[in-house]
Amino acid sequence: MVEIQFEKLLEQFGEVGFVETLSHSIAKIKGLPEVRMGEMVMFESGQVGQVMALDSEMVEVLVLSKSAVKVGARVVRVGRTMTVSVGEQLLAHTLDALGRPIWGEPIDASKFEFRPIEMVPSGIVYRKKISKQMSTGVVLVDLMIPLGMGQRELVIGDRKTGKSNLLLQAAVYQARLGRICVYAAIAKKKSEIKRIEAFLQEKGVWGNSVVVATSAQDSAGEIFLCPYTAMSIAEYFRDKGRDVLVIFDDMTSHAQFYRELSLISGRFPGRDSYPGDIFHIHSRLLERGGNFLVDGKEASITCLPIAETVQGDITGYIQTNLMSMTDGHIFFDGELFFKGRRPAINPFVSVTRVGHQTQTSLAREAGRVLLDLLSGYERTQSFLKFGAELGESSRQILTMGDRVLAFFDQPTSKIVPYSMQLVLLAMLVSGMWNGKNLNKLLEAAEKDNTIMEAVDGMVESSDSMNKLIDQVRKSSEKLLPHLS
Amino acid sequence: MISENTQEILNGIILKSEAVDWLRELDVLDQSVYKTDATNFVQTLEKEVNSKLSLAIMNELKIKGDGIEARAEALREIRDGVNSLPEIKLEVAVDLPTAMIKRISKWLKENVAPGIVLDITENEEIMAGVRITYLGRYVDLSAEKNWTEVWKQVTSELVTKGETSYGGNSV
Repeated sequence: MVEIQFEKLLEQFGEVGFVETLSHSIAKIKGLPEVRMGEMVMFESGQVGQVMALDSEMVEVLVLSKSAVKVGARVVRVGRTMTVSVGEQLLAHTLDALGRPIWGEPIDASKFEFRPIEMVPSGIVYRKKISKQMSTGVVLVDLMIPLGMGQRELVIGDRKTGKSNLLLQAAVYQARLGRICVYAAIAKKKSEIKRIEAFLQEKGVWGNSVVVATSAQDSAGEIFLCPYTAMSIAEYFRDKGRDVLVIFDDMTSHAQFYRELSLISGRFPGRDSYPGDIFHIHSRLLERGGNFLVDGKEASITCLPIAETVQGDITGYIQTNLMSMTDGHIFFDGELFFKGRRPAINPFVSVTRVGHQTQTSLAREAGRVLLDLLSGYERTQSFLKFGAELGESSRQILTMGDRVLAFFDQPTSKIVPYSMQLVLLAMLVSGMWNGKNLNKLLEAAEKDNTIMEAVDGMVESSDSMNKLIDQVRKSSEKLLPHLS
Repeated sequence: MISENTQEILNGIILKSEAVDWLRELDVLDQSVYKTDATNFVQTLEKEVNSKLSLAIMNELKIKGDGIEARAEALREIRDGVNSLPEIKLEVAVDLPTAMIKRISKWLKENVAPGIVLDITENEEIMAGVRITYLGRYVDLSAEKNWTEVWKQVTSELVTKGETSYGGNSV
C-alpha cells in the first residue's frame, strides 16, 4: 500500500530526492527541485516528514516518525502542507500528533475533513470582544482571577505544584457545560497520558474531550507538531459553532524540543541556546485562540498553556515570552504549596487582563471584597512575626482570613459551580458560615436540584454583595444544614 | 579553479564508482601532503593513484608549483571538481556491457552536461527500459510501469479469442 502510494506520487510529481544525511529527526535531502516550505514529503519506507528549510543544495526535512529512515532512501513530494483529519468522531479519543488514534477503537475516517496544521490566525474582522466568563469550577480562580471565553491565560509555576490538576478541573467543568476540551499533552509519560484519559472518563466528560498526546519517546518532530494539531482540531469545532477549551501541557517542554531540533539543523543559537524564532513558534499558535464570529454567532477558543518554572523564577526566557503573548497568568507558588494550600495559587502575583470585563457587578464586587480581606490578612500575618499583641480588629481579620483560605481549599475532585461560589462567599462574609464542610453541601447539591435552583435564583436577583447577603439570609435554611 | 586540461580529464570520468575511487585516492594523498617532500609526493602519485588522477594533479602542480601549499590546494580543487560533477541515476533491468555504458555516457556528455557521471543500478523488477533521475527530476521509462495495463489488455484479448474459437466457452 505504502509502495503504491509512493510510486503514484513519484509519477505524479516527477521529482525525487535522496537522503544525504540524517541526524536524529532532521534529514537533509538532495533533489526535489520544486518542493515548497512546509510541504509534506514521503520517504520510500512510508514515513512522512515536513520541509523545514530550503537552500540551494539541500532540503531540510523534519522526520515525523520514530522508525529509522535510511541514508540514500528516496523521498517524494506529497504536494500539500501537513494536514490533520478532523471530525466529530475524534471526540473520546487519544490521538498522536498526526491525528491518528494511539489506542482504543479505530475511527471511521469516511466523514473526515482535512485541516492544515499551520494556519494563519484570523484577522480582527472575524474577532469579537471577550464578554462571557469562563468558569473553571475552582473558587480561587473564578472569584479572584476570572477568565473569559476566548482568553489566553498562562498557568505558570514549579513542577508538581498542581497546575495540571487545576486545568483538568477546568476541563471537566467546561465539558459538563457542553464545551469541547482539547488537551495537548506534550512529551508526557505514557502513564500520565493514561491518567488524564482515565480522569476525564471517570468524571463522565470523555465524550466531549479529545487528547492529543506525544510521549518523550516519540520523535522530536511529532512532539513539535502536537500543540498545532490540537489547535487545528479546536478550530474545527469552533467553526462548527462550539466553544472550545484548549490546554497545552506544557510549553516549556515544547520549547526545549524545538531548541533541540534547531541546534541539530545547525541554526544559530540565541539566548539560552534557543533559536531566534522561538517567540514566533509560540505566538503563532496562541494567536489562533480568541473569541470569533462564526456564521454570525460567537464561538471561542480559550487557551490555557502551562509553563514550568525553576525555583519560582518567572523571569526566564520562555516564561516571559509566554507571559507577554497571553492575556494574563495564574501563578502557582511553591511556598504556598508546601504550606499546604490547594490550589497553591498566589492571587497577588496572578493577573487576568480581560477576565474582569466579563464579570457582572456582583462578581466584581465579590473579587474586591476578597482582595481586601486577603490583603488585610497578609499584612496582619506579618505583624505576628514580631510577637506583637493583636487587638480585637486584627484578630477578626485573621479569623476571616483563615475562613477565606479554608473556603479556597479545594481538592482536585471537587468542582464548585460559579453561582454557588458567590453565595458561599456571601455567607462567609456575613458570618453565617465558617468556610468548612463544603464537600457535604456539594454532594447534597448533586443529589437535590432545588439547592442549585435556589442558588442560581439568589445570584440572578442580586447585583451587589449586600443584596446577595440579604437573599442568602432569607434562604439560608436550604444551605446551612449541609454546612454544619 | 582547476585548469581546462584538468577539467577535461575530470570530464572523462564515466561512472560514479570511478568518481568515488578518485575521492578515496585523494584522501590517501591528503594524508601524505604534509609528510613528504615534492619528490616523494610524485612517487606516491605514480604508485598509489590511477593514471588519470595522477595526470590531473601533475597538470595542476605545473601551474601552481610544487610547494606544500600548492599541493594541498591542487588536491582540494580537484576534490571540489569531482564533487561538483553532475550525476545521473539510471535504474536498468540488466547488467549493461561496457561498450553500451560508454556510448550512453558519450551521448549524455554531448547533449546534457560535459562532466556528467552515471550511477547505474540494476533492478530486475522493472523488466526492461530505464528509470532516470537527474537533478531531482524523475522519469520512468520502464516496462514495469505499464505492465498491469498491458497484461489486462492481453488477457482480455485472449479471453475474447477463446470465446470465438471454442464456440463461446471461456478459456
